[in-house]
Amino acid sequence: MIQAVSVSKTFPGVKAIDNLTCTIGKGSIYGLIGSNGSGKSTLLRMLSGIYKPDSGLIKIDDKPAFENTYNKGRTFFLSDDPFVISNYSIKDMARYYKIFYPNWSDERFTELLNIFKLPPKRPIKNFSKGMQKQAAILLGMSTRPDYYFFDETFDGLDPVMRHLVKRLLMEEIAEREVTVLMTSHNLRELEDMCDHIGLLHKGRIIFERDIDDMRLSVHKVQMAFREPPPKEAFDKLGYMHFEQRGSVILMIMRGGEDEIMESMKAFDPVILEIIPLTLEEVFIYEMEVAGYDLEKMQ
Amino acid sequence: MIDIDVKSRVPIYKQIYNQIETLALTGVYEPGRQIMSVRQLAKLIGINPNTIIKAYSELEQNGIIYSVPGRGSFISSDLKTVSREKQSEVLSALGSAAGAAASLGISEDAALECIRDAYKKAKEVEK
Repeated sequence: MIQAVSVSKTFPGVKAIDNLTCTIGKGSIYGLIGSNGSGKSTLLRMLSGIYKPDSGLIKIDDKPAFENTYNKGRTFFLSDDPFVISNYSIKDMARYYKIFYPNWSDERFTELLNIFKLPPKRPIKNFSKGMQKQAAILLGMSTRPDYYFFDETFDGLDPVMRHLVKRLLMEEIAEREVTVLMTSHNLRELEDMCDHIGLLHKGRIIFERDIDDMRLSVHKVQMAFREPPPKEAFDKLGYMHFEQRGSVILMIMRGGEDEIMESMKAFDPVILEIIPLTLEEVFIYEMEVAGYDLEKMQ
Repeated sequence: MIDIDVKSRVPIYKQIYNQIETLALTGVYEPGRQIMSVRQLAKLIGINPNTIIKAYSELEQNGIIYSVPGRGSFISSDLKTVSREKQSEVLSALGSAAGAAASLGISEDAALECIRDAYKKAKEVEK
């Protein structure tokens, strides 16, 4: 389990993380979305024990994160710019990783080499960007960690490779209780993998939810009337968004489908349609209600 | 047998739920049949195991499957109550569709004809 309590981190002139508190449960896949400069990488570096928070507390399985050798040995942090020693091949890097990761598995490494089909003896720095990322994932998965921190890892993969990595990861999570934290500036990269999503903005998590609850908690209601009731009639039901075009009314409402269906039938619409929102839409409306303009944030 | 559309507006756990429910209620999965474990299914379709756990626990809550600790999950033998609920749900959807048809000026005969056709097709499929 990852616990961060009132964590702040300032760099000269920038408050990167501002009094952030969050908990990520064991075995969870947590997606952190945020624009450039929102503090994603800083947070990951603190969780990996590389940066020390200025104030607040970060614990991984009840042990302080900063410079904790035990935790570092079972955490794999893949930064957006993977580290490679110059002229080192995948095989050379494997030898190097073996020193630091006690759970390193040669068997898994060979297995993954066959799956990824990367040249094991050529210098990694001569690979294309995408292949370098694949090499880093391959090496990371061979360390058999308890924690994966992926910093924009999935953003640069082609669809076929992304699908492959996703399957490998899910397989691993199903077999061992691995906890994953992944970041992206694109919600779509996260929504088919994560069970929880948090939105990081100016160094704070301003919104956090279980992904399925979020999707089913807000609906789009489309209705057509012979004679539409006045807007005020809907006011007491509470809506997040209201739009009327002639006899057609469109509302964004909180609540489950059945619940909304029941309350709308009272207005006797000719056509009543209740559609779940896409995750992106839920985010936009929830943020609007919270007083943030998502368009301006990106 | 499970097919997930990640682009769908329907949450993934709900898609898994719906598909297993359909397989059970239509008898394609006979009562007592063991369904795939969370691990197996997660591996097979590349979906977050937590999502599958959620689908399974809801299926269990609603009496569609039951699980035996250490052995796995199985299709319930008594699906009648579940069927009845599902039936009233489908009937109500049919009612709304008929209401929409009426308001669009579709004649009662044409609507009934459509229903008869659907029943005919369903019977052919059963054979």
